[in-house]
Amino acid sequence: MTKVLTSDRQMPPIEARTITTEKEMETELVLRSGQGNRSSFRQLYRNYQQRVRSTLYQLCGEHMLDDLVQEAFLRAWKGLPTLRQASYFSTWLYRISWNVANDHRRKNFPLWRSLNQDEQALSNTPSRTEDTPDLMRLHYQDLVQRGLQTLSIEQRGVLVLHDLEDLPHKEIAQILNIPEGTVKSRLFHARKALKKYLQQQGVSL
Amino acid sequence: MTHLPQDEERNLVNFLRQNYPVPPPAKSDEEEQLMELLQQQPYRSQQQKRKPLWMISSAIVAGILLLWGSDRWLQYKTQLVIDADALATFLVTTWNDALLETTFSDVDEEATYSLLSALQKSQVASSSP
Repeated sequence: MTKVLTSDRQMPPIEARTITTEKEMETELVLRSGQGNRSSFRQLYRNYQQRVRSTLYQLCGEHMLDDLVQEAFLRAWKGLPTLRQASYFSTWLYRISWNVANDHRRKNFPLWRSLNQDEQALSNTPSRTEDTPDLMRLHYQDLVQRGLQTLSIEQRGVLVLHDLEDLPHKEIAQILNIPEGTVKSRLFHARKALKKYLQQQGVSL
Repeated sequence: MTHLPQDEERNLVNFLRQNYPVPPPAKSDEEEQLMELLQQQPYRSQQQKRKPLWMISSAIVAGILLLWGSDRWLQYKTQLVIDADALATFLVTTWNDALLETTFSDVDEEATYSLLSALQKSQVASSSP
């Protein structure tokens, strides 16, 4: 029994070992992709596609989502040879996604504004009380999506990365290239504004 | 900046996570489309991407060498000019000396002529009645 315990203490936990291995595997994939290996990049795409897609969806909505995802990965492929630290790939890819979203907003500003106005108009209609849980869930998802659209892109970015993507303040500061204090401040204002919006729509929090 | 009460904050975050807007699924061929797009992209290695930086540093080195070379050349040219000045001074001095020598000989010649003419005059005067 004592031997088993000693042995357990000497060995790192399985979860920690798995994470280390995954990180090492990812680093290897990043390095190979940086050397022009397309099959490694395909694997990276499979690992990150959902996260990039989700982030871009929260930031830009459904309009041109496929193109935006493609653009993000294309930029990643082009930029990989210059990525100095493979371990920062995740942060770097989020940063690319953020830049893609911002560029999309700048290029399509009139369209972006009209979409937001439509969202605002829709949000002014009184919300219905749904009967079934599924419909209720869809309704809430729609409200969250509309609520996000009411925030500025800066506030939305921080809220999406922190509350939805579950990234720490420090990493968000690196992604957005802003001080950590600014991340906290934006998060506070974003939450306050979103909470107000949701309460106006009849959601009790 | 004051924080939202922790309970309210937690409730909001929980609500957002429970009702996370799910993006529409990607097209089935999106991955293949991306891979085809990558095939069309010319791959540029790190070294190729760093080429401009390498070229800039080479240009700087070349510029420094050019400056150093031109400086050296100017120094050499100045030396040539100095040598040319010395040569000119030498030539002028020599020439002046030569002129002086010529002048002395001219003076002698004139004196000879004047002496001769005076002698002729005295001869003419003595022979006349």
